[in-house]
Amino acid sequence: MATLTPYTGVLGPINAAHLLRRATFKINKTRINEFANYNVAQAMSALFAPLTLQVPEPIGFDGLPVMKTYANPTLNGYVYDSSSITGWYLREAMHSNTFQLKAAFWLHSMFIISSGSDSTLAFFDYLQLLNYYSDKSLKVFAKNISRCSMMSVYLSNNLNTKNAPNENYAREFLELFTILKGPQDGPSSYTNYTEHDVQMAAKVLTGFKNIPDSQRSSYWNNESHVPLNKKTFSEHDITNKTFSSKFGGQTITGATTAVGMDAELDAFIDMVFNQQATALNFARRMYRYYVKSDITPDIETGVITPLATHLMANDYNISSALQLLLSSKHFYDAEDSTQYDQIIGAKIKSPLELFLLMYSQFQINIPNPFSNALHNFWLFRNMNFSAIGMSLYSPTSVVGYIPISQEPYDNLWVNTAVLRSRYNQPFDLLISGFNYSGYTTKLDIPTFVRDSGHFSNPGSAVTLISDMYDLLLSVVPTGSRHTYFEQSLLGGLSATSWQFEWNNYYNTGNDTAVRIALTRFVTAIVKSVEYQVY
Amino acid sequence: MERRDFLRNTSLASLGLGFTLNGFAADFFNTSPFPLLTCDTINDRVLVIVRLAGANDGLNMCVPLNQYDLYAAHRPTLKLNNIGQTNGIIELDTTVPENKQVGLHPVMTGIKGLYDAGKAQLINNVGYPNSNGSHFASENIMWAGKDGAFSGVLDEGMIGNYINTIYPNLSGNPTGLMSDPLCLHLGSYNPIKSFSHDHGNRSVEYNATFLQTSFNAVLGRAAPSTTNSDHGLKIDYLKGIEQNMDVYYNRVMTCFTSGVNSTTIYPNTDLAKQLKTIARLIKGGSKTKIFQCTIEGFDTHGGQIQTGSSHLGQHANLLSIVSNAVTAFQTDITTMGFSNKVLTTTFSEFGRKVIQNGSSGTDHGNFAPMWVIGDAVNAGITGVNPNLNNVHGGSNGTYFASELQFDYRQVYVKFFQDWLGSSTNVMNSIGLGTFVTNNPIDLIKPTQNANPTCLNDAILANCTDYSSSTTKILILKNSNAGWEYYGVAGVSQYLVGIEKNPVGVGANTNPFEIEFTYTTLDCAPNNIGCYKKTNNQEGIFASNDFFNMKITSTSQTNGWVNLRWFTPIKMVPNLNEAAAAFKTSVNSNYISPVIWLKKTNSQMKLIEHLRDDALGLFYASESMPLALNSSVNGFAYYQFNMISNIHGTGVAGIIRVSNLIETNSAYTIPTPMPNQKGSIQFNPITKTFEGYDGTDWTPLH
Repeated sequence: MATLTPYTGVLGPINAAHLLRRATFKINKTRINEFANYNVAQAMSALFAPLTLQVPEPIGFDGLPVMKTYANPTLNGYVYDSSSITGWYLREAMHSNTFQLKAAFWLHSMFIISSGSDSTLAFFDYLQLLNYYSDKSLKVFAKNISRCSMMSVYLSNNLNTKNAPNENYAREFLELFTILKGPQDGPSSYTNYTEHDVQMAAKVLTGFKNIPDSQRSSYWNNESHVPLNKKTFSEHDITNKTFSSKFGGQTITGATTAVGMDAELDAFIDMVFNQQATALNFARRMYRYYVKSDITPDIETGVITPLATHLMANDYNISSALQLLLSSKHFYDAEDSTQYDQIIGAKIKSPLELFLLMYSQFQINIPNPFSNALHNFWLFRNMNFSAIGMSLYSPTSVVGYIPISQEPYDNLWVNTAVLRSRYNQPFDLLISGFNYSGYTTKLDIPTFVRDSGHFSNPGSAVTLISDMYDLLLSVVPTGSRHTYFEQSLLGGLSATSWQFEWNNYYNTGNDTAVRIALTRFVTAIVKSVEYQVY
Repeated sequence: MERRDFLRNTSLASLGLGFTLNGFAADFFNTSPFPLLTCDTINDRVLVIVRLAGANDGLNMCVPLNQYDLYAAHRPTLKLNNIGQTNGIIELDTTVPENKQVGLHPVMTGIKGLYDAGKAQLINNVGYPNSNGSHFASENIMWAGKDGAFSGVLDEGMIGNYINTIYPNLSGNPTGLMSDPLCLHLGSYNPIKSFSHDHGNRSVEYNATFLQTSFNAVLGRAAPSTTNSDHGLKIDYLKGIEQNMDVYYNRVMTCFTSGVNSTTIYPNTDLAKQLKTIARLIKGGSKTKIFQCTIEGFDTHGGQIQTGSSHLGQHANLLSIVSNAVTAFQTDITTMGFSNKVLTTTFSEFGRKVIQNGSSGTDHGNFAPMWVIGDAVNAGITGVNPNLNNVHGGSNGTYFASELQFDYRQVYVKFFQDWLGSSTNVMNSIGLGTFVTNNPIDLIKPTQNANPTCLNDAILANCTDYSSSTTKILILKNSNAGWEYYGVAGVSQYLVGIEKNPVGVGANTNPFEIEFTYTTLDCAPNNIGCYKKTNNQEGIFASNDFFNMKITSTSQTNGWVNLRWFTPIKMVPNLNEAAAAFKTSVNSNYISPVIWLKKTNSQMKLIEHLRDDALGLFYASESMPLALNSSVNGFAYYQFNMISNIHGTGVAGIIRVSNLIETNSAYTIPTPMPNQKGSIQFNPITKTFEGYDGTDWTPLH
């Protein structure tokens, strides 16, 4: 029986690495060792500390902040395009010690936009909103995202007025983002809402108008410090909105002032979030994002339902629910000894996870966005997520990233066309090196093995292989697979030969012999099916 | 009686083995019916490399009979018994001069049989100058075709460069022209450096070692099973994808399943199974050029022999495995009737010290003999026995450098030229040119020697046969700031953006809808279409993705619109790569940047339209580096303004490689051909590409 019973005792290295891989994009030996000595409470305390950003906003080509923000309201710079913003997020995500930025992407994966549908500033505001609410209430986030310029443009709510209602956002909000339809149960009626409810919701959402980039600084939200759409009372539908029996026939009284539009929106979102179906949806989305895609009836009863209850009882606080999940014995495969329940290594990495974990594992030195602004920009822009199956921040439809939102989930990240690119593209870029204006980002494997601190005794083939497994793979290979990886290092020679070669490198600095063997070895691991899972 | 027949009979008789060698009937050795050499048959020849990983002890494989006492002194416990003694070495060939006479390790009766049948050549003391005693380093030096004095980066392989030269743009890519992997590797999971090229970025190797489990399941060994856990199911799923993604996999499995070995009984060893697999693949239709299989364990620092019985132990086991496996392989391919197409050789990174160590073994040495086996081989012994006096004393124990008789590259030049039929140009381009001249090795029988009448520069692709597939797309991706962007479902990068109602005099104001057709050529090498005119060192490389669009609504444009074409980023590296490889292979001087062509007024059919006129195109290297205009959604585009006729507008990318600059008088502008709508040319006056619309040549960009 799967439950949310907390894990007890210290985590140990395997669970520590599992937790770090799943909750963050940053994993290295130091962090594994640190978390290995924690019990779950200590681990949660460290992971759920407040978010700190290395660089609070995107940096322009000239190495200076360019975005007009609440903290920096006088800037008026230029960014090339949305990839500057994406690069900023990626850079912060791969360096962050806490959980928020991965959770922010979870929010994005549910509240979909397309980065090109509005201005780069609007895209930045959207990301800021994700980051800000990633450790707060999903319900409050839902209120704010409903007034986010990016979202309004993407789903046309900026066109939704009392005289020309546009149901697009209201419909997706119910159907895809929050409560979900459920099976149809009558004419124009679904398990969780009716077509009438969509119309009523659209009325609630009338009159929230986009703000042009030039007026952003007049509309900072007091709490998030992100600009929200302005309320145009004259275009708001002031009638009372009575919802169907799916929502208990609740009536939301029409606003009489612009301020009242907030109260209407709040009442509508509270109503949706008071439904268990909404909580169950977020619980399942959280489980699939952090644990695994397959939710058995046992898991539905023992994990999803109590997690949903917890969400509702705690104002949909993301941190609180996520801590509950990541603290559970279930998450660490410690619940029972059923062979079919093996959560560690049971998820296929998304391209985002593939890239960021790889850069983190190999401690790739990211160019300084201030002093090497262009190199920093082009490095992230060159991470060709779409070539390996993910249109980052621009999924093909409002349904979102299909492997995140639809059956059979993460298996869909990989197909016969994409797998080869996944093997080659991210890693080959690291090995061949990315050059821009004399600055190179490159993985030098002999130096990495010698100096990174991951490897306690690289001259010992046994220790080296074991350390590499611990760093790169979620499940230690055995049998013929171990032989395969081992031989990719040794090439049929003895461990003594390796020791000799390593000592020679260590003493002389001549890496000719070890470079090829090490590159072969690391390549074999990275370009394996085992590396695709985490 | 032929000399070899005489030899065989007498030597076998002296061993008391009769006419059976380790259980293999030897009768067929008498028959080696050779078809007359025609150059066409050269293309079917293959080379099989048996890699003796760990460095084989050549001295205990082939003992110099004329120096037996000295040998015995160097190796007091390792020494094999002399000929005539119990378990003594086998006298290989009494007909050769005394300084060539060797005694084979007593387990190598199979090789002895092959030698007597006129199918084996022994080449003495092969190695390279400045021998390196590290396994890793020495292997890599030899795989790169270098020697110990080379101080550069060993990132290209000798065989990889060779294959990439004779099959430009085909190496490493399954294609309609060459669906088989060009180099197939069994017995070791490690990629072999020798098969890489282009500075290690690409490889011609297909490592089929992971398939050996499948092969073995057929050959009588079970595959391991996996678990049913959450994790295990993901791994199984990914493994399935991994196998299916591999075009080569399907091809190799097809050859394997359609091939059948003869009734030859192979020993139950890994090496024998690898060779059995190779024979079966060839029988099944594989056109793979170079096979490599591997047997490991030759690093015999200790326990080389069984204490007290020098003819037994680790080294004896290994030599026995090699000898018996190679013999069975030769029997099998002879029975199946294609032994005349196969040449087999041994490879080891270096030899071992002449003077044995204190733990019944031998440490890393320098030179060692190698074997070449096959119907076409000029049987005999090349070189003389090493002089066992020319050995460093003390703990060194290796041969003097002067004992190097043959550079391994001299042998490989013989493989590439005399056996596989490659020209001296090819040898020059892969850095082996210096080993062509004064090469004393006489490897292939005169009747079977491709050199000099059947030498070729390359096996070039003929891309005119490729079909194309066309997809209609009608997916409005997005609109932003007056622009509508279009793309293919599931691909984030747009293909085209249209500003339907731009501002300006004569701009369109009519609403209209458009339809796209998106065409992909099935031209498999690097996914590019290519046209080559090798005699002039010219090539045109075209992206395999291009598209046309036309208006489908009843409304038509009443003025100009602006277009943005997004560069198919995924194609650029392939185009560049293919063009650069071609440029290198034919020693051309000029290579263009990627040129993005727009075409109006006709449906662009790139493959046809490039065929005639592309070969007459003028293009030189420094002209027209087109700059990107800007980007949308992270993807760069080129903007074309004031397009007045949108019907039948298309875009594609090409690269031109040529040996002649545009001003060369050998080139004239081709006469426009009325029936060649959609043709393109380069105008040397305006330095622009022009498209032909059936009436006029107009600038394309």
